[in-house]
Amino acid sequence: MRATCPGAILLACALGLAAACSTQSHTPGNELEAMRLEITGGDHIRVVTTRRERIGLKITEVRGDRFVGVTLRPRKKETRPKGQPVEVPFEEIALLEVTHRGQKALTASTIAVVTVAAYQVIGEIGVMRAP
Amino acid sequence: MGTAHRAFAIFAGALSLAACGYEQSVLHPRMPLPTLAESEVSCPQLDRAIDRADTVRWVIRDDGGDLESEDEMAGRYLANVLIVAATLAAGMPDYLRDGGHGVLDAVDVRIIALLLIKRERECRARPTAIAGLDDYAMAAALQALQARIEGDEGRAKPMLEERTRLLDGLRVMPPPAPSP
Repeated sequence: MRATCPGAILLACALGLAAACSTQSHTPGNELEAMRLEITGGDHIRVVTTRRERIGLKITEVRGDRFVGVTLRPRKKETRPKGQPVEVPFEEIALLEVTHRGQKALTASTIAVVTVAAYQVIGEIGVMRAP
Repeated sequence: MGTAHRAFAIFAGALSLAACGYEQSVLHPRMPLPTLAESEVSCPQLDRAIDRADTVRWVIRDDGGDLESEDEMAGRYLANVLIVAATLAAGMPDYLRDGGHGVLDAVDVRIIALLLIKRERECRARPTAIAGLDDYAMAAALQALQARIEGDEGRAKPMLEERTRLLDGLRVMPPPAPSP
C-alpha cells in the first residue's frame, strides 16, 4: 500500500487557503467608514449600490472618495461582464463584501501545507525502502 | 409510519422547501438600530442612511429572505429538535435556517426607526412607490403596525405581510445606471 495520499495534500491545501482568506460584509454609513475598512489594491470586493446594482471588482486603486478597479467574473445577479474598468463612489455603497487575503494567515497556511506535503513524501520514501 | 410521523415529515419538508428559497448572493449583515450620532445627522444624510438600509433590505428580499411569524418560528424550532437529532444520528448534522428572518427583521426595524427620526426632525418628506403615500405617512402607518406587532397581537402573519408590503414600496427607484 502506498503511504502517499494526494487527496490529503489537496485537502490540506484547500484548508490552508481557506484559512488565509476571510470574507466579511459591511454597511459603511459614510465615506470615513468606507475608508476605515482598510481595503487596498488586490482585494476582491462585491458591492451593492443604492441604485440596486451589484458589482464584483478587484481593487486597483483607492482614491479619496471611491474605489477603482476592474470587474470580476460576474456572480449570479451581477450584470457587468468581467474585465471592465469600474469606479464606485463611497457614497453609493450600501453593502460591501470583502475578501481579505491575510499575509500572516497565508504564511502560516503555507508552512502547514509544506509540512503536510513533506510528511507525505517522507512516508512514501519509507514505504519504497521497506523490504 | 404513523399518521403523526407522516404529518411531521410533510411539515418538515414544507419548511425545508420554504427555507431553500433563501440563498445569500452576498453575506447579509444584521443591521443595528440607529445610534445617537445617526439621529443627529443632517436631513440629506438621514435620507442616504434610509436609502442604504433600504438597499440592504432589497438585497435580502431579492435573495429570497422573508419574515417568519410566531407560529412559523415555533414550527421550525419544533422541527429542528427532531431534524437535529435525526441528522446527528446519521452523522451529518443539519437544521432548518430562518430563511433570512433575522437579518430582514433587523433592517426593517432600522428603517422604521430612521423614518421616525426623519419625521421628528421635520426633514422634507419624499414620495414612495405607493400611490398617495409619502414617507411621513408610511412612517406613521409602520409605527402603528409595529406597536401591534410588539404588543399583545404578536408577530402574526398578516401584520408582517403588511409591513413587508409597505417597506417594499418605500423608494421610488431611479432608472438603472447606464452601462459603461
